[in-house]
Amino acid sequence: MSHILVVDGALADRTLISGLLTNEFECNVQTAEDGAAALDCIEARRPDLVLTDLQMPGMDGLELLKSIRDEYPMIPVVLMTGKGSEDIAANAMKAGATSYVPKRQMAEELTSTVKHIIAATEDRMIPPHLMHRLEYSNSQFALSNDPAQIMSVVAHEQCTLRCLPLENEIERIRIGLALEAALSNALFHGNMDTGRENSRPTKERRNQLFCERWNQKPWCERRICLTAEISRERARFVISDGGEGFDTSCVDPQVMSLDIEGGRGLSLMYTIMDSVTFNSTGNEVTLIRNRAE
Amino acid sequence: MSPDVDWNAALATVHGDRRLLKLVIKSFLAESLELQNQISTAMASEDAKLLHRTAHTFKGTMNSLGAVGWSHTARRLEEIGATGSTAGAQVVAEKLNQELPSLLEQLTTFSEEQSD
Repeated sequence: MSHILVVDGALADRTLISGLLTNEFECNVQTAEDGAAALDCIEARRPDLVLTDLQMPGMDGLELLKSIRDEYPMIPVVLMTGKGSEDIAANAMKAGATSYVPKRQMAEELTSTVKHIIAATEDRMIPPHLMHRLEYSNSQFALSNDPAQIMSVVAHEQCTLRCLPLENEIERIRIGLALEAALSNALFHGNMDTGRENSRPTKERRNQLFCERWNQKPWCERRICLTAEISRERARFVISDGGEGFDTSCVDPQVMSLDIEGGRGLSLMYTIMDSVTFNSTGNEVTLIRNRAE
Repeated sequence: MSPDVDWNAALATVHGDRRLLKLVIKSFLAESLELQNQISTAMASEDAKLLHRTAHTFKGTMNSLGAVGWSHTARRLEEIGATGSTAGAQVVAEKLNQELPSLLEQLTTFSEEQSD
């Protein structure tokens, strides 16, 4: 059973997050009210994942993240961000946080994010040492509009990514999250026309549109094309969809906020990958991540 | 006239789990006095950082509980704290103290109506 440490200064938030997690999947949740208490918990029993708020008394979330990165680099850290914490959260993502969940979208995003990361850390299908011997891989997929296929292909690429020298294991998971974000955008905002990042509907509305359209023309005929080229020097993913694209001039990576109404996917891509470029029509994105120096 | 808690929003936060909502409410009721005290301490010691952090906690939990009508005042306090000063916060803090009892009353009533 997975062991998750929730760090938040507010008792009500600790109760909420623990409840959402234990309602959705089998896990053991421990809580701490600040960074110092969290480090004591980690020392006593190493968690599979740390979920932390940013604003806390004493040692705050950013300091906690840095301590964990120094002392326990293999533990994934997910930030919970509130409105008004976007700048700190952006710094935390650059400092190596695995992912983030806006507090306003906790009910929608928390468990899927945690499940993905736990699954990635437990990935033992192919012996890791074999992938360390891989020199080059080039794969092309034409995916149907099935979220399960996205999860499967991300798991596959995350496994292949073991051949790319990265700072640590957490980076491999982060790249998987960025790839998943790009593929989900291609599915929902591209193929299913459920609204682009700058006019994104609620997740409930998005899922409703998806249910209405997945087996209707023209949506059902569209495919998500993924080309994944991974070597010991870099990983390059090209993802295209059959949608009409969007105005990419509205995307400014310099001002990407981590708590914008839509755009969590874009934020993940920009903060995790070395390069993110769109084609002129906005229905193809290329993500590049280079090997660690 | 006091605003009403948006119970649909509150239940959406917990995926419709009334038992969990009751637990979150209990937690908030248990810590709200401490949070009020922290705001008083922040005002007395002119500690803008403490004011910002505590008001941020108040605002976040209020939003989670569907208490948007109350969270505006907490947000105003948070914004003042974010400037690095507590100047002008006294009036807003008093407003929050006046508004809170009606929220706590609605939360308590909901909590008492739910069976364990």
